[in-house]
Amino acid sequence: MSIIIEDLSFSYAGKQVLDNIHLSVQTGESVGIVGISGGGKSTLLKLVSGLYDVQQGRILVMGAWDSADRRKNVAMVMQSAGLFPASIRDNITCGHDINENDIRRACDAAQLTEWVGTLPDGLDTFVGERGGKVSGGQAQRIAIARAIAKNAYVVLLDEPTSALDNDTSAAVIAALEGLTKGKTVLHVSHRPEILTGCDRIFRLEGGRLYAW
Amino acid sequence: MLYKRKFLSVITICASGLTAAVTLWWNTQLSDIINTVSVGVSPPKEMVFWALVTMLVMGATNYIKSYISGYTCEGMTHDLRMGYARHLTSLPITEVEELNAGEQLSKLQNEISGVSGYLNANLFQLFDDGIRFLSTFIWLLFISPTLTLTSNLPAFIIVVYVFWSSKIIGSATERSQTAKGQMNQYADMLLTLFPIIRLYDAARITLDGYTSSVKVWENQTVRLERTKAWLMSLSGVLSSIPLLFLFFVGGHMVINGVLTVGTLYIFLNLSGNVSGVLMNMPGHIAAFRQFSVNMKRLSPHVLIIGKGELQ
Repeated sequence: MSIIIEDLSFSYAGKQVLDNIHLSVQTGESVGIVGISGGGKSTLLKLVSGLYDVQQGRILVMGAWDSADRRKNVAMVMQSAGLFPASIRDNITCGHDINENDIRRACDAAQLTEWVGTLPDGLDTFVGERGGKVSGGQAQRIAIARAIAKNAYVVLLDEPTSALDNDTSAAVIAALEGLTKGKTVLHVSHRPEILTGCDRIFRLEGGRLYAW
Repeated sequence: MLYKRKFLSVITICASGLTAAVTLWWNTQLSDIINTVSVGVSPPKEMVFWALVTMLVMGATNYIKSYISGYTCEGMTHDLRMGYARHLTSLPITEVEELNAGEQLSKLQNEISGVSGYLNANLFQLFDDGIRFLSTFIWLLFISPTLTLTSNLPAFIIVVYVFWSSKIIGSATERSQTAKGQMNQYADMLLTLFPIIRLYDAARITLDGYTSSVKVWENQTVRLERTKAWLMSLSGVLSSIPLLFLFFVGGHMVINGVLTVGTLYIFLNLSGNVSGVLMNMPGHIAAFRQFSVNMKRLSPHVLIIGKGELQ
């Protein structure tokens, strides 16, 4: 099993967001979770990724119970690309020593190569403050390339296409295919049609998880 | 801002004019006392009485001037802060979401504080200096045109230097403020990207980025302070020349019997009102340029409704 969630409950500001969640995801399996906005989907992913500490229950990701260890095993793409005011290269490597071939491979898989080839400075192009010099779709594909370059066992997707228009979404979805190929995936969205490629789909309602 | 507080501003300027007039009158009396004493005669009681009355009046006018100018400046500072707050609250939600908290904080910490500080410390001081300069210069010209012109001629030459140096200080200040804004913006960005930094263990790259923005700010600030120090110290050396001229030419006129000791005393006592004001101009102009740079950055973010009225 790649992910095991046992008896997970979480609340903040006096509100019970997740209530007694149980979920097991097999290695290489793709699981989708659908739910309304504010229903706790992002909170669940933040708990799985180790960004939030578990209040009650347990989460195991690739054999790691501890939050810091879980963070090492996951790559996550969120609604907002979250780019650093740095070059495309630095946004992909995040300052780690990643060789050129792996960076190129990540760009290929994230459908970035063609666009980067048109830039005078290529991978060393500055993306601007808050990614202001690139479009939303390009920013999201850079974020996907970053996730690919991390080469984590588990991929978490938090509505990565919801802020994009239909044309841009198509390119990002193609990039996501490059990211999720052969990985264990937990994908949350408020739109069920986005999750059609998942092996199993669940519904998160009232803090509880139900089969779709 | 001045337009909105026009009544109090006019009163403050009038109080400055009154204070300058009383000061000149006080110097005339002092000159008479010195001239009387210098010929070995005790000053009459009436002369001493009116000198004392003038001193009291001078104290009263100074108090009124300080009180009204302080009150007016505080009012203008309040108008500025309210204008900025109104601008923020009038923005559509989509624009508010796009605002960078670090940049806004930077504006509050730097520009608005700078403008408030300038208004409180310098604005009416500038008017006051201008009034003192003009009234004293005209009066001294009336007493002795030769001494007035010879002692103050070097000061006018220094003014040219002052304008040149203040321009350099102004642009250095702008660069330093921009670098500070970018540094704060980076700090705010770190908060926004905190989840990404943790997930991708990107502390090193963000630290490098922040260190580099701090370095840019540090370099600009050091450069600004160095430029300021260099220009100001040269200005300090130049500022002693008018006083030397005053002693040299004035002393020569007293020795030749063209000028009384009391009149020379007036020139010495009031040299601060003429050449002193000119000598202080680098500071005033540098402060004013800093103020105008801050205002330029702030003005698009201060809501102005109606003719010249800050709402």
